[in-house]
Amino acid sequence: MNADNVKAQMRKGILEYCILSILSREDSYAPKIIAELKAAQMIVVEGTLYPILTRQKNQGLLTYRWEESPQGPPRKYYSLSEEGRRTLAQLDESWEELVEQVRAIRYGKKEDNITTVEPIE
Amino acid sequence: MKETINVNIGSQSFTLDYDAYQTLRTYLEDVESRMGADDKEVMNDIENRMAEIFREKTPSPMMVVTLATVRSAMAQMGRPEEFGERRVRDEQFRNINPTLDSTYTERVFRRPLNDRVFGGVCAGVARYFNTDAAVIRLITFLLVFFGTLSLWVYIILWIVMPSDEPTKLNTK
Repeated sequence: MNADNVKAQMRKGILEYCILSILSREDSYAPKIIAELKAAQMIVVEGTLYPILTRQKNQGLLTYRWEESPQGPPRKYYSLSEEGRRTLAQLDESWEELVEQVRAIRYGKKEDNITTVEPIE
Repeated sequence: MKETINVNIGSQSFTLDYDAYQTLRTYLEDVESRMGADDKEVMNDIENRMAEIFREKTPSPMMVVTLATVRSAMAQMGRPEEFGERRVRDEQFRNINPTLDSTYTERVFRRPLNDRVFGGVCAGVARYFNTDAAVIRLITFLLVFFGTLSLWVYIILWIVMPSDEPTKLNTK
C-alpha cells in the first residue's frame, strides 16, 4: 500500500525530532523513551531507536551517563547537550513552519493572492 | 529433557534452551549484518536491552530462557529488516551466510573487456577487491615509476589473467 509507505517515511523524518523533544523534558533511558514513543504511536518496535540514539550522540546532540537502576544492570541515561538544545529549537521552529505551510496548501492561504478562487459559501 | 546452553548477553549470564540460543544467535547476526562498521555500540545497546527483556520475562535467574521468550523479545525489538539493508562487511560474514546475502557477487579474477586502459589488468584487480579501478591504476603507476614494481608484473598478469568472455560482458 503506497499510503503506508508515505506514512512510514513521514514518521521516520520526525522521529529524531520527537526523541530530542522527549529528552528536552527530562533525561531518560532507552526503554522509557520507547514507551513514550509507543504511547504516542510513533514507533512499534524498539530496535529502530538504538541506531538513532547512537547517531545523535555521535553528532554531539546527546550525551549519556551510566546510572544504577533498582533492578538489573546500570542504565544508559541520555540527556540533551547544549547543541542538542539549539538544534531542537531550530526544529521546533521549522515544525511550526511546516504545519503552517501544509495548512496553507490544504485550505488556502489566509492572505489570498490567487484572485480567481472565490470563497464558497 | 532439553539441552541448554550458557551464554553471556550484555555482561549477564543466561541459560538458554538450545533452540532458543540458535534463534537468538541467527537474529543478532542478521541485525549486525545490517549495521555500519562503527555501530558496535548500537549492537551493545541492543544486546543489553535483550538481556533486560529476558530478565523481565524469566521470574528467577535460575530459570531457563525459552524459545517463546526469545521470540517475544525479538518481536519487541523488531524484525531485522527494520534495521535497514544487509551490508557486506567482511569475507568472514560472506562465508558464514553465502546464501542469505543477495548483494553477494562472485569474486572473479578476470580482465573486463569494457573498462580497460591497456590490458584491463587494473580493472580486473579493482573488481576483485571491489574498489575503484582508477585507484588501482594510480597505485600501479606510482609503484612502477617511483617504486619497485616491475612492469613485467603487469605484462605477466595480462597474460595469466583470463579475460571476460564476450558473452559474459558486464551488462550493468
